[in-house]
Amino acid sequence: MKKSLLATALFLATTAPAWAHEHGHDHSQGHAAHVHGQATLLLVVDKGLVQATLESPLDNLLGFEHAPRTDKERQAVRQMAKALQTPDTLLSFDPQAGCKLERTQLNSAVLPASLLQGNQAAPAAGAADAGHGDLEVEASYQCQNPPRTIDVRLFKHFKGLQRLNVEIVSEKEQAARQLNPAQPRIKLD
Amino acid sequence: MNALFGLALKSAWNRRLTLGLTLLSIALAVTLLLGVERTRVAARASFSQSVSGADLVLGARTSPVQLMLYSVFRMGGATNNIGWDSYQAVIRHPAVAWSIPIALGDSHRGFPVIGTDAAYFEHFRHGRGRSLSFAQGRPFDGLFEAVLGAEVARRLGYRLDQAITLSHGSGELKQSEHGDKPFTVVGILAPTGTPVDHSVHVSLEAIEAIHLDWQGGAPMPGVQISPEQVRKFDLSPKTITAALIGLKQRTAVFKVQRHINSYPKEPLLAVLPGVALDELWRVVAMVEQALLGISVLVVAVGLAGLVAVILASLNERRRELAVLRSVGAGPRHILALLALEGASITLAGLGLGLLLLNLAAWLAGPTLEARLGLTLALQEVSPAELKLLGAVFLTGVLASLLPAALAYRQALTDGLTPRL
Repeated sequence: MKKSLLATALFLATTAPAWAHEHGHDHSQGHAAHVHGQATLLLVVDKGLVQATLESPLDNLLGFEHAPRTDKERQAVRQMAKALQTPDTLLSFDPQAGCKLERTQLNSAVLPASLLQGNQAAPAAGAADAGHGDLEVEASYQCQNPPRTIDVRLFKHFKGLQRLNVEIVSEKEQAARQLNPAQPRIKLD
Repeated sequence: MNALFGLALKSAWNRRLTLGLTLLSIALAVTLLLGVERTRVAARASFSQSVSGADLVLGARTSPVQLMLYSVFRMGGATNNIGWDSYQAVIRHPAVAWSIPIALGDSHRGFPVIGTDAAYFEHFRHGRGRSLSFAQGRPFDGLFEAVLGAEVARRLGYRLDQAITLSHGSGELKQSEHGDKPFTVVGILAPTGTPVDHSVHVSLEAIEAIHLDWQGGAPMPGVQISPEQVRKFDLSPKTITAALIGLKQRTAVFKVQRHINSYPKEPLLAVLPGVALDELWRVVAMVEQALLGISVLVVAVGLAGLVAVILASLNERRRELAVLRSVGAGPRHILALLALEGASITLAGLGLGLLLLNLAAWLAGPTLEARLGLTLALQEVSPAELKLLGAVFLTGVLASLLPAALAYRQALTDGLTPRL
């Protein structure tokens, strides 16, 4: 039975739309997948230290994907940057974990660094292909205890985000989860 | 209550044939339900146990699931190989602790041949972090030496020092035998319950050596390089199919993945095995749901049969129930009597179903483990199974309340007054 199950899986997996599997996190070359409405979150849970990397098409967060041209657009970028740097916008942890946001960093090839406050790094190269723009958010948290649950709060703040592919790595396990506005919780063992 | 139970038992004994068959149908339905659940769990476990030690799987750029399937589980074929130079370059990353190269493509009597190196026997982990152990012999050392997986040795009846020849490709074509360069079996691995059991292991150099006088997938006419001459050639590998990579610190995996995926000279793909498997399960989930749905329906059929049998028995028991009523049993007692019967049969069905399942696992387990690497151990009931069993029991009890309620409403005199 396993064989036939797997044959079906193999068939389905290989006939799935090409973009469904193309999330090689590739920046220096090639073209990373860019699907509006979806984003990727990489989570490293190393005991009390949680590092999160969010990669999202700008459209999900801003509604446009070019350098801001009007004051209104500039204001939108500032607002987004400010929101993403507020501790509870990205992730929230179970209270027993006692997690504190230590550092956030925003990178985007198409947005001026001056608008993304607290951004020291140079814009990532190659992100602005084919008229699309992405944003990378890196956040690290320090927790007193290893967190048990993580809620992704992005869905509340950014209505353009419909699906989040999460990859979780800890000393014990690797796992993938798919979150959406109705199911924003990650349970860790 | 005790008296009631005795009555129910005696009454049931009178109808033992119909009730027995109903019991059997419920038991079989439960066996199917739990069997589907247990196979699902076992399939997942056997997959994740096959790569328990590796943090990354490296291969040519393709779909992560596909890379996992062909490199670790030998299902489907590789689309591309990767260059040995690229492999050497990316594993030089300081976070990499060890790596196992894997070259696929040849076979021996239907079993895949894996070109690899000594790291395989040292670093490969299966199950909960167990390393490979030798049932007999030792790792390969010389050029034409092979190490067999447990199942290969068992099914082909091979022993140490046996000479074997490899075939090019999947081995269906007669002329594609590497007959001129036989290998000697120097080791046989202990069973692991993973694809390792079904593999023949040789060194990467040996893979190069047997293809020296080949070109374009066929022996070059007129060119014959004997096993003795072969050693004079440069046998360092040119390409490999995939590699398993272990890190010093498992949490550095995204960094190394990014490093590999952005390797400029060749499009490479590094996959987190746990993540790729979860992706695979998401795809398989549909099929699993369908199987589970079917077995739930079978259970429903079984329980419907139970209700039908009890309902049908109401008529033949009109006298019996009326007599009970006339000697002082209240309608509540009748209700309890019938509900008790339904509940007991459901419970007995659950027990018998579990028994049958374990019997099946005991009988078919060794075959399944050998053929599919599926471990269906005799095990305690898992929480998920307990939930399923509880749901079946509850449904059974609720369903048997229907005939009980009907009997409850029957008048005292019903069954005593002869119908004309």
